[in-house]
Amino acid sequence: MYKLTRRRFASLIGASATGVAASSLAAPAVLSAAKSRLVVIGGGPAGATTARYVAKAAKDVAVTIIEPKHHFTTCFFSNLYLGGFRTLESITHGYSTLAAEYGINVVHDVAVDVDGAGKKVKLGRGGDLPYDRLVVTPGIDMRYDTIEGYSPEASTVMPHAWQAGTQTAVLKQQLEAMEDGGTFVMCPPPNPFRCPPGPYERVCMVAHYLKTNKPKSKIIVLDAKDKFSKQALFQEAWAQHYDGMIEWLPKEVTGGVKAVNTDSMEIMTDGETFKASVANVIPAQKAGVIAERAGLTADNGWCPIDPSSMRSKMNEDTFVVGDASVASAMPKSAFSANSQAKVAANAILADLTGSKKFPAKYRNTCWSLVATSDGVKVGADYAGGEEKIDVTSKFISKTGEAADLRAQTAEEANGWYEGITKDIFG
Amino acid sequence: MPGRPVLAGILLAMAHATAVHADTQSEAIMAILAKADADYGEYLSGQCATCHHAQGKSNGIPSVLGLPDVYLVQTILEYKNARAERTNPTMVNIAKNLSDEEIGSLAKFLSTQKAE
Ligand SMILES: Cc1cc2nc3c(=O)[nH]c(=O)nc-3n(C[C@H](O)[C@H](O)[C@H](O)COP(=O)(O)OP(=O)(O)OC[C@H]3O[C@@H](n4cnc5c(N)ncnc54)[C@H](O)[C@@H]3O)c2cc1C
Ligand code: HEC
Repeated sequence: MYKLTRRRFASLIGASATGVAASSLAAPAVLSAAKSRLVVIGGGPAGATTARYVAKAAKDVAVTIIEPKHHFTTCFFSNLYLGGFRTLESITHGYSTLAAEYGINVVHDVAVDVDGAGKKVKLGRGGDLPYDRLVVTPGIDMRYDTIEGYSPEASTVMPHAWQAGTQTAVLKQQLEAMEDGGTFVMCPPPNPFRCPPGPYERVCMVAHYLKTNKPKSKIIVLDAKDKFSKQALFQEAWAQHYDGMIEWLPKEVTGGVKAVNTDSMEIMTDGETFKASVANVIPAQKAGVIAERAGLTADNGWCPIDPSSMRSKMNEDTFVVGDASVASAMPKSAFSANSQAKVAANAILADLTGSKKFPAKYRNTCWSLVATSDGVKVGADYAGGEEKIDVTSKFISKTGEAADLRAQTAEEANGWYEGITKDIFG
Repeated sequence: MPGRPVLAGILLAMAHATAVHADTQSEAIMAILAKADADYGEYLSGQCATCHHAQGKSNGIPSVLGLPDVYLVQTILEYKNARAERTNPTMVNIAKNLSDEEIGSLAKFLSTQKAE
């Protein structure tokens, strides 16, 4: 490295000042700062993809990700870990490529507050990060108070495993420790929630594990809903691969889960009490708490956005991407988050560098593994409409498909996992 | 098995038919590529990278990086019309929503990208 002499430093500043003066004639106002700053809260599929696409396109935008975790375990494919098809390591990713190859500043800390007027983020360990544009992607938080007796502490005994990592590992250990002939009780959440087919794929994966290792066991599903994503496909798989093992009870039958007791391992619905050997309680959800602190949420707990850009409806310097946003008709999925991130990145680049803003086009596909080499999928294309993100066309696997087609679909999901994690983490 | 002259005749006829067919087809493809905007293609291709590995790894999903633009246009059109082997509902659904300009722009951009 060469030394910057005082004179040379002064001339560098002079040069860049002239450059800015010249370019600011035509370019947007934010360009007047030497290097514009993008701060991204959260390093999941939504945050990391947005950061990567902005950093990839514009070297003159300083990109920072704030993310407490050093390693990110994906929720997607975590059911395959429960089923014994994947290791936890194979679904865990680091941030070193984003830092080394894309020059992204990854700050391992928690964002504790946002000063929207002063445009800065307050960090947990102290200090502020100023920004020109902010992206808020904290994913979800649980509404623990919707089930009596459930809490962060209770979730160590009755894990939700709906944020991957420790929770998923706890659930796996409990399954492994369960006696043959035990009862696995799952309580899927009410809408809207992260990954609509997720609970039912998990039922398949747990059933696969139990059928292989503890075949006398039973699965009871106490749903908060009367119907669910890919229902015909899942119910076909349950009958075909795990006949007699799974009992699904919709809300209209039980009234839904009202309370849990972690001491007695009991789950209470309106009229009945269920005793569980292993209980997987997935409560109702809302946007990650920082979104609320930043003033980005509506009364329903989620963040409204402009469908043409993912820009927050509450603050025009801020974008909300991924599970925390109200992006309906898109489901809350990693695929959706990754797709929305590219629309947001394009809009952010237009704001910060004056580059061209293209029409908002989005896509989602959710594969589910229902048994060994048996995959099903559902997907749609979307465009940013006036009020919401509209479906332009959709597709879904059919019941009764040939085994080789199902095997190909399962293989496709593996290809997708490789592709999307590369696209998120570099 | 037909005798040699007969086979040669058949092949000749087939080659002729393909050439005529290919002519109109390649004109259509060239017209599509003429409308291409590589910047728009780069933006749209972000929505392909979710499945098609950014560095061209083929694993359950084929790589599309660095393929000839003409081949890409033709293939995407085949999905759009769910023709022959091109019936995978995922790609058919995607292709259905792409205009000629978008197909051309994607092909132009993807053809310039290098696979690993
Ligand atoms: C069992 C299961 C299976 C699934 N399967 C699929 C699937 O097959 N396909 C699919 O597409 N999707 C699937 N999903 C859904 C997918 O995992 C989520 O939709 C996706 O993770 C959302 O991404 P995100 O970036 O919005 O949020 P997250 O992945 O939750 O990332 C948010 C990040 O923000 C960080 N964060 C939160 N608050 C702060 C703060 N204050 N400061 C700094 N950082 C913060 C968190 O640590 C986290 O890393 C599945 C989910 C589950 C639970
Ligand atoms: C949801 C996952 C997914 C997305 C997103 C996706 N593809 Fe595909 N693509 C596939 C799969 C799976 C195949 C193999 C399909 C088959 O068996 O015919 C494929 C095949 C292809 C092929 C044929 C390759 C060959 O040589 O046979 C092309 C070209 C292609 N895709 C282009 C695109 C483009 C362009 C985009 C973005 C607009 C895109 N794809 C987005 C999953 C995807």
